[in-house]
Amino acid sequence: MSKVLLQVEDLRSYFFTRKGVVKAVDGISFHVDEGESFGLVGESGCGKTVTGLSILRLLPEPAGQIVSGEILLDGKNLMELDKKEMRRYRGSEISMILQDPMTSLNPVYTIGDQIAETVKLHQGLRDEKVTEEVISALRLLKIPSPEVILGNYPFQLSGGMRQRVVGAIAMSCHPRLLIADEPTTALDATIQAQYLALFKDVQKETGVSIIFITHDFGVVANICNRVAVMYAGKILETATTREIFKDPKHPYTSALMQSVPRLDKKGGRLYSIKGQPPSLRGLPSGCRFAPRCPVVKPVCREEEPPEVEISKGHFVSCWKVK
Amino acid sequence: MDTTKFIDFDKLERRARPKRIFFQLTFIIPVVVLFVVVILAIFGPLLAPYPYDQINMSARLLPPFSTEDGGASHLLGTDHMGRDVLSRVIYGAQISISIAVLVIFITASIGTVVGIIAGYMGGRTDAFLMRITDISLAFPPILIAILLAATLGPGYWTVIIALSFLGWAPYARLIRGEALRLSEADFVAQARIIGASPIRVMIRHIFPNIINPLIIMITLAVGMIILTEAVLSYIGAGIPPPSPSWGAMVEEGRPYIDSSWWISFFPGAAIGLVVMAGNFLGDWLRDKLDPRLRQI
Repeated sequence: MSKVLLQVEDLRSYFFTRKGVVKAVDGISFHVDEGESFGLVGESGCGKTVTGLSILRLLPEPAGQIVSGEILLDGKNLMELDKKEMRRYRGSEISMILQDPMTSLNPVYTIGDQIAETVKLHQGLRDEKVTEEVISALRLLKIPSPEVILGNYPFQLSGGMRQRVVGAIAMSCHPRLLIADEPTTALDATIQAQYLALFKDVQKETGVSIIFITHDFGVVANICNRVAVMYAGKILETATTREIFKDPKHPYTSALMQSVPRLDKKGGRLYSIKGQPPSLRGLPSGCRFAPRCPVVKPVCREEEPPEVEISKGHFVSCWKVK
Repeated sequence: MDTTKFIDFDKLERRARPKRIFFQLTFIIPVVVLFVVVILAIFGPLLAPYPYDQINMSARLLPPFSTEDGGASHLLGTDHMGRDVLSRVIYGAQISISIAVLVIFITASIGTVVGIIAGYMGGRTDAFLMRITDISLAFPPILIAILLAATLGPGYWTVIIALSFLGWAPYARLIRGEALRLSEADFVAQARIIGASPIRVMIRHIFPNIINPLIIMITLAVGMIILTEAVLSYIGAGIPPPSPSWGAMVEEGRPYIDSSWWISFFPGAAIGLVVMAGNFLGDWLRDKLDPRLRQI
């Protein structure tokens, strides 16, 4: 049994706008073990990215606020840290990779300078040691001829290479938790596969825990040990990747599975879930998926289903499985 | 059909090839003009043939290229007190350029700091700073200058205070817009993710990315400041006589404009030249540095 690294308990992140409160993340709980890859899957706007930003406590304040919940990293509650202590955690304990490699590097600094900034910020090393660290970070991400690349500017690199550099920045201070927010969405298919393979290697080498935020079950199948399916700010189902694929319990999960294009089943239209996700401003009472659910029961519209553990480590929130 | 013979590839290629920097007249002329003026400003006392305040009532209103009986020649003539116009124009460069440099330094610094803080912090800080900026933009600067000259008394530092007092606002406006755009950028988010403090983000990640528009604005401001200083001196709220400010010299020559045009013409020409040089250089820099134009 491996050790729990991150424990998120009943996290609620709301956005207070003029038109009302947007409940982007509305009471989610999950944990990530040491050295594990955890997938956070859901469609656009279901609160995946907000969850990631909440863990780093980087919601766009004052509109975005974590209204309740606990985020425990190795037993330490991040919600209790002051701003300065939290900054020390960012980059050195928890890091994050953003979606678009074309814009997540500062155009005016060389690759070396940008990685060095993180290293200097957290490790307080002397210059020659800093360069060593920078090169080892570039090596970790398998960037060819790191001594040359570190003198380059972002615009001189391709998208795939930039995303590796972003990875190198994130990994440069040996964080224990890496949040990868759709790191492969902006890359083309062949580079995606390479990038995921690269992360498996990085993980094997460093033992870092990774939260993969994605809408792509292909990515999940490729790299994640366990997965949580999010919908409208809530986690509907959590299980190991194997179990989710073999035996999805929640109607939303199985609907998602059916809408993934597959090579082994040719022909016919892809399945699509009818309707739109609910507005996060005015959520329906009862189960959030009820309006679109193919197997909805009267109770679904009235009361929110509790989370039940149907087998070890497999949690579902649905009246059907009760 | 062979289309290649209808297209003159050599000609297209020649057109596509960028001109060497030194052959671009809109760059080289303003640079030479500004360089000469700066040299005059620095070495003015060494280069001027006479002191700027040497009065010679027997050599009043001499036209350009005239020589006094004693043998002293006046290339640009003399004014109504017999002072050498060339010497006064050269000394005037010192006043105009030093005012321009100081005012730009003060206004650009304040404007950049205010703009970056407002743009990056957002919310109430932004609203507060931008309302102050709006108020500053709403005041006519000449009016404020006259008011200050009346209360503080006219003088070199009064002009600098008067021009700086409101001059930072356009910078703040421009920089705030840029900073706002950049604070949404992913690389700023990335900087926060690695644990950079707000001050670090503003200095290291936002400021270097707004240098281009800042430089363009500064070059365009050179002409504006010299012009405003001239206007202030012309209406008597600027540099008091006998200091040879260009604007003040234009005003001094006004009563004699029918008969002795050179007293006003040469300082006026100097103002025009420097203002145009500043604007041309600003336009050239904008074309070169603006990424949107550069991509074409």
